[in-house]
Amino acid sequence: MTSTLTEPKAAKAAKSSKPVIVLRNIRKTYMMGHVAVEVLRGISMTIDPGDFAAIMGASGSGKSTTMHIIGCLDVPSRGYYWLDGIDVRSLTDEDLSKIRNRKIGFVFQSFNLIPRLSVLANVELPLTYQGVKKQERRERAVAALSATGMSHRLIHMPTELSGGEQQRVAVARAVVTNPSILLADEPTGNLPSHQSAEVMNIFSQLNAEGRTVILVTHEEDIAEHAKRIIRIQDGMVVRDTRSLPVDALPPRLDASSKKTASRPISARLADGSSPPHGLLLNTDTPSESISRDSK
Amino acid sequence: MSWADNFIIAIRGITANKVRSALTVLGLLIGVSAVIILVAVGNGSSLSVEQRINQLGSNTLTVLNTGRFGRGPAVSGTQTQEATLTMTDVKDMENPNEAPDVKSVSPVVSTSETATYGSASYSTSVIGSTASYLSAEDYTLSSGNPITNQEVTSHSRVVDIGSEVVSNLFDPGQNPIGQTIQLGSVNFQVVGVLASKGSSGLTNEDSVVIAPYTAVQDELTGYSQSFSELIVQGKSSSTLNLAESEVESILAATNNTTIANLPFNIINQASLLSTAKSTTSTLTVLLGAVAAISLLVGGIGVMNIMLVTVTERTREIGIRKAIGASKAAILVQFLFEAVLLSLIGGALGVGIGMIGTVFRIDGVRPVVAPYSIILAFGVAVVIGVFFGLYPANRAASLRPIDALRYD
Repeated sequence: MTSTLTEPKAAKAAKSSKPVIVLRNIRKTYMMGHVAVEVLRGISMTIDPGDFAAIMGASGSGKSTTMHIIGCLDVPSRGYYWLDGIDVRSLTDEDLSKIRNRKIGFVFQSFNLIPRLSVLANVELPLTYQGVKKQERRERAVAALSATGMSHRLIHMPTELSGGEQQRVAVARAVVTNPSILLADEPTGNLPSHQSAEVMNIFSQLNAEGRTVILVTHEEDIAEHAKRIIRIQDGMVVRDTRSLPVDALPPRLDASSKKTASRPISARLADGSSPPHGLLLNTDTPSESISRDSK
Repeated sequence: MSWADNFIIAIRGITANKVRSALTVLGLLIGVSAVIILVAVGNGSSLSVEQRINQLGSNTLTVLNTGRFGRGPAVSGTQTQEATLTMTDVKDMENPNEAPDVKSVSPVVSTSETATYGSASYSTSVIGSTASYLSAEDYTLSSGNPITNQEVTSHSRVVDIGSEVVSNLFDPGQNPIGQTIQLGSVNFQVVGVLASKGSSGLTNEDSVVIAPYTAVQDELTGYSQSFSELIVQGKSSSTLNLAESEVESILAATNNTTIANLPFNIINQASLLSTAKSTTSTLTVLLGAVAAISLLVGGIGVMNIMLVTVTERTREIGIRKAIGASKAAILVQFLFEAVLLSLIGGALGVGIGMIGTVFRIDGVRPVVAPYSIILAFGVAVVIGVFFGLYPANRAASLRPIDALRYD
């Protein structure tokens, strides 16, 4: 199973024909008191496996809401969303938590670490919900933290870390289950510029290894890390520009500058985890429809 | 997730906010221990009242001469004279044909005297009666002999004395048997010492001197046909009511009146006991109600803290859901926390309650009722679990993004 991890190009070649995310005419309406506010007014997009896309837009344009829907944290009011070929609306609450746990890693602007848990416990948490045994859980959490350069802070509490360090812990938590899709909602929004660069380089590396990365930002220089920029305005996609092909290396990947990059991140994630593409959910607890449709 | 994982997550949740957890535990602790202690106090006081009444003798009737005027014996026709309890009444009541349920009748003359021995003196009550008095009143002898009916007949100046009289008149270790004490100015010989019965709350049963009524009448009260009271011992406490009506019939006949107009008070110890029991069980119910209210208040405190706890952790629930926790996993986490807190609070409450019931409270020794422990503990756990789960269920049902936005 891990062979696909170390050979991202091969994996992509086999899967490139099938988009991993398809949004069709997504609409989202919130009730503000008695007034209905339409945040998304027909968003459509298609993301192929291995892509690195930046969703850009001004405040209130609906880019974060789009991201929440892609991450299965929110549901659209209308429209269709296929994730790896499965209609997300057909999934139960239980299936959605499995997708959030194994298929998608989500990184928030405000980090969203649980403040009373140590760095290690935070990163272990997704594995705990997956039912991974304690020893393996620890090994994989430590591996993910060393991949993001945070292995020296295992027993610290999140409040004892800088913003950049907290975000690297959050990224480690997002990748610890080895998901094929990584979503980041303004991941550098609360960080000073040098810490932003470190975090963005981690995303570039993760993409270089074959993971699909989507990030939301309003900063042009952050968006330049991506191969594709999707601009949203007033709840609609207004421009979709691609600077590099899906299977190219990310434009700003700096493999030499960080010691963390000496080895591919995926290789650092412990063995036994699922490859980025091909399996939505672990075979030991499959949701049948999901596994069937994802092939 | 394994039970161990859930347990660890719950422990972390509890220790993360120690003050909040301590307050939850405190609320339950106070409620549970209050129930246990108050029910134990009620229980203890009703037991002690029962005990005191049993000390009086549980199968005796006391016929008291109230000093009212009756119509007098039938032979004197319409003559009105003071109603009396006489030796004739005693003989009638001891007649098994007339009163088959009466075991013995002890006529009583009583007075108060100062008893002296050497330089020591002590004021005590003096009972003049017959041999059956001791058994009717549940007196036993710790040493020496009881007064006998022969001594009654022979007007012997002998006495059985209570333990308090002994301790006030004699030096410790001195054997009072055979010594001569003075009641007023008359010499009596001590033939027996009564075993201690303790205070009954009404009279001090150990501060007593018992002598043949004939000697008491001779030397202390002066001769009279009438006794101040009769102690009627029934054959058993279950037939005491039968004995009572037999005694009433006899007295009504000798006094030429009806039972309703008897010029005597008859005190039935069995009915006194049941009255006292119902009084004290009312007390227990009252205390139990107070305790139940405190448990309820404790429960509302727990509910408040749990509601606040879960509400302020809505964001945490959102994070957990965002990284893949199912609703069931969230509920199990909060269930574990609630169960743990309730168990700790309940167990500490039982502990404090048990410690609290060791102490005497205003002379009452609390007696723990096992049902109160089970009830209080069970209610505490149910309250904790329900009010922990209810808000957790609400939060876990939110969409992750709504829970994350919660502030």
